[in-house]
Amino acid sequence: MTAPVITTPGVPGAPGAPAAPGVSGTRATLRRNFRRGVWRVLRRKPSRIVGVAILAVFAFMGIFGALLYPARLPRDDNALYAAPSLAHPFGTDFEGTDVLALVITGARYVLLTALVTAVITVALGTAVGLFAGFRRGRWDSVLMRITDMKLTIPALPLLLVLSTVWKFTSALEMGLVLGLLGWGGVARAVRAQTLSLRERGFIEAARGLGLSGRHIVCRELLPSMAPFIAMNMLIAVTGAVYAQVGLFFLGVLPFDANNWGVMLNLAVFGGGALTTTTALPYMLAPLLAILLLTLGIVLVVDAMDEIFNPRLRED
Amino acid sequence: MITGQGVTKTFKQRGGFLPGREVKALRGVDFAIPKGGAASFIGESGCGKTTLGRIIAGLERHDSGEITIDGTPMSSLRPKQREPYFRRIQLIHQDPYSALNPTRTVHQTLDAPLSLRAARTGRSRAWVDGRAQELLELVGLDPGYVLSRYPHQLSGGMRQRVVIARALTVDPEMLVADEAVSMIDVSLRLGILALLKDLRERLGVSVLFITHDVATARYIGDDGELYVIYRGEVVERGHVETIISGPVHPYTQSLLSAIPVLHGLERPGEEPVTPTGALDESRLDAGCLFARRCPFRTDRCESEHPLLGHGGGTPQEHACFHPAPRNVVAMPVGHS
Amino acid sequence: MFTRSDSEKASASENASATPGERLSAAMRRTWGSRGTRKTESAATPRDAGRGGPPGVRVGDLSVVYRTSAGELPAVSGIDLVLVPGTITGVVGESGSGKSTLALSLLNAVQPPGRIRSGSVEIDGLGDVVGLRGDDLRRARGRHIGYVFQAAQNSLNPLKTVGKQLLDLGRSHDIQDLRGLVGDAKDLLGRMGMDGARVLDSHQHELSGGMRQRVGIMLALVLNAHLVILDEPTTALDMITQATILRIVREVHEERGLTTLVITHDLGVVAEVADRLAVMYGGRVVEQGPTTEVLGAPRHPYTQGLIRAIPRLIGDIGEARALPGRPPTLGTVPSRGCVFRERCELRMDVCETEEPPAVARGEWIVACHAVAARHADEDAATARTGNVARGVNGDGATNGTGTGVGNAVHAANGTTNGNGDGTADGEGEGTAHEDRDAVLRGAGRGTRAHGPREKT
Repeated sequence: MTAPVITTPGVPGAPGAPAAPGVSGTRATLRRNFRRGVWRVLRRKPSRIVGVAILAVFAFMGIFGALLYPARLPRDDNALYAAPSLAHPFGTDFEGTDVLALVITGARYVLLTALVTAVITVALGTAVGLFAGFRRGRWDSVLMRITDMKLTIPALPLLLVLSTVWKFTSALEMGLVLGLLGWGGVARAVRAQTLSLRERGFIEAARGLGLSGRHIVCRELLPSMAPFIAMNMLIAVTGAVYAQVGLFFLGVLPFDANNWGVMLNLAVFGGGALTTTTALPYMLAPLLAILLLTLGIVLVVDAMDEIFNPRLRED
Repeated sequence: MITGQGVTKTFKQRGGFLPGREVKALRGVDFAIPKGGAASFIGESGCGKTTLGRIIAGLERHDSGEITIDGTPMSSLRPKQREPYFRRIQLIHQDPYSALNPTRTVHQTLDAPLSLRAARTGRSRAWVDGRAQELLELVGLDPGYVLSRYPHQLSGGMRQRVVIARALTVDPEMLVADEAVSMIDVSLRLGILALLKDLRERLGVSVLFITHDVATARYIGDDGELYVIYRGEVVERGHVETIISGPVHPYTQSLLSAIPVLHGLERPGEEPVTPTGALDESRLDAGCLFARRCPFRTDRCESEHPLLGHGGGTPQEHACFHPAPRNVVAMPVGHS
Repeated sequence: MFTRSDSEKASASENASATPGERLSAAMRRTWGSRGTRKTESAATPRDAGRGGPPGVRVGDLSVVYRTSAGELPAVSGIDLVLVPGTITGVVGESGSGKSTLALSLLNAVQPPGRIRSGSVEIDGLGDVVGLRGDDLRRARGRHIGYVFQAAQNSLNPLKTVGKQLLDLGRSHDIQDLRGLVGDAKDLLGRMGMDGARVLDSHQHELSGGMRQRVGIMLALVLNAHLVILDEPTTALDMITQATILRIVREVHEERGLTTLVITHDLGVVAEVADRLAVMYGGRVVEQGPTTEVLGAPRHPYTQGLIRAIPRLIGDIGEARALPGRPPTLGTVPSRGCVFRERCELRMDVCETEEPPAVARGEWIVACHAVAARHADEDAATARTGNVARGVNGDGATNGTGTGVGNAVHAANGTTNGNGDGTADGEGEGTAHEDRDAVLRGAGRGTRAHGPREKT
């Protein structure tokens, strides 16, 4: 018998390594490693920490902002369009209500809509794209034709028409509509990614091993696309914010609730913020909020690739 | 035992409005790989050897001809029924960098197919974990080190071992290694070849080795059969050592002549054969396919198509009208 | 400019305070410089110096580092390498050996986060390339140094015909006679067995891998560069195409009078084309010398292992063996001691702490403690056997160039001795060294008799 030619790789630290840990242990370790990796990636650039901080502040505003103020914000008839001061950092509006309070309480509608839109856009887009790209053939043709048709529908005019019959009182409704209008681009992009990934050796190997389609899609394809999907999600958030704020600003939608778009509309068309300076802080405050939110997202998107790629996650 | 008779495959290139150009990748290939045996397909890129390997591994369908696995002709089965047969033939990719999912650890990579098997056969989780370790040890890796790593944390050689371990999770009957060492560092290649050879000896897994380098093919098994493929056709077939010591087809001779000589350690063969011109993609299929590049062609080669056989009483089969053994292989200095 | 007297002055001061590596490089420069610099001295101006004949290249103590999160890590450290005018030198190394970084350094084209930390790359007619910047560097790259990129198969612009790219190249180098340039290109392509006019009219996708590689070689040579660097010229090519390309490299090299550097991971490629061979590992050159002699009787354990790891067509399969372990990466190269020790069967205690000195025997240079120790033992043995060697030395010393070589090796051996265990130093310093030099040169020729180390 010849001894099997098996070379043990000369690995530093190998002898001291523990015997293979149990499955549950491995999962926990993986999760811990992932969290550490994310932290490492964020720390790499201070800008990313800033981005996360900004998003955290907005999340806090969206969830708890309304609780900080009474249901009906106090008015002060003596201080209409007051200039910024310590009591009113961004001045007051036409009713003498604190602008900062308006921005904070108005965040919930805007952010909730944005979140719902992003989730629907990405979930629907990814599902359609993955399915079309993975199945190919007839399914691919049908789904992609639908996608193409959807892409040709101009969103804004459609929204204008819809708004005549639908009031969008709840953020969920608004988000649902925007989401259903937005998934086409994501679907196309995800399909393209799927088509290129499925030619890779590891997908072919998974099929050769008889692994189920669900396993291949959920465990092999999806994680590889995670950075891409996460990026799309964040970008969809900004898109949704612009879209709804734009609609309210144009005054297309009736304003039941307070939100940033309503503020902009009132500041510009009611307060004449574009012609006089009195209402300027009233207009600038929601704009600043949108700007900050976008900035936060841009700063965080920068880290997505590194967070979801195990190689880049390391030192 | 896996055999093929008259396997053909034609690729149609899409040409927009123009009629698509057809490329004949395989023009009726016969092969037989016994259980636990070794076989090698050698030839230039584009000769069809990779396509044939993929067909054998069930990743592609041939156009005509028959592939028989353990006596069952595949054409008699529906696609779903074929799957378990082809699952026993695992392809080892050329590129270990794309063959492993970069987002999954080695543990996850091995766990999925093993869990599937455990679920089917009613085995326990402990079996899955134990088997993963066993397989890693079998391919010469330290499970404690490797299991929790991502592919990028491993060297090319280690990755290829993981790929082999993954293929072994389904207890395959045959491994199809497509240029399995060409992207691995030179000092580590032999380790992979030795591993494949070792698996053959210990587990009785047959190995089909696809390469353009005859010397590496020899290391998988010098008892194996060599198929020299040119433009989708087998032009010489026989035992590895027989063909190396006395190649009769001018194409085989060209391939062997082209292997670099380690001057100082070796002296070149005395009658090297250099083909005239590059790989000929012309669609003129009359006569011998190699005739245009063959330094020894005659009028007959231009018009008549040679068939595989023992013409001229050679020990190996060949498809040449003028078989003549030539001394083309470099010999070690001091070797007589 | 590098002249003979300068080098002598330099070496005098170097010997006082220089490290062994520096002294070796000085010695090498003098050895090869006798051929390389003579041409430049007779040339009218330094500008024209490289144009007439093949230039020599002297890489001295070159170190290149890459900036990573773990600090600056060396990809190449302390490399001394001489490209003799008119020869083909082959650099062999695995991934992470620093061979491509070395090739890029010759063009001063190491990209951030990498940078050349120290050392020099002297090219006849150009001077020290490390100091070149901007336009001078750009001009040097096409006209003096031709570079055929790794995977030249894919380095052509897919949107432009080869001819258009040729004209772009000509214009960027201010060539007035573009018609002449096209003519030269056609001649070169014809010389490589292709239809020049047709190839110039083709796009990348219309050419096969081997043809693209030949186009790459044409583009590197068409501006009349006499120093050519080929980075992995045959990777991803078939055996037959590889053989064709290697034959072309060899023929074009001879016809045009080039100095050629071939970078590859494949020992076979080097064996086919190169006159001299340098083996790289972990950013160092561990062994260099005439190709056939090094391949015939490799001394460094890495070279031995590498040769043993190559599957051959003839002979016992069991003799071939993979090297244990794996090649180091940028992050895992040991910062002190021998870079190969993890995988070495001759490993000793000293390998952990001290970098092995480059020991020269004639043109053959090995950096290994074990080899150095063995040489020292052999030297001691020959020193004891007496005066036979002295006679040989007398012969060598009478002829002019011989002295140069002798001196060079002498300087190098001085360092060996310092680091070795010193058993050879029984007699008076001077004569003992002279004796050894002569013996060494003899030994260099006859090493095949020693044969490679016995396999265990």
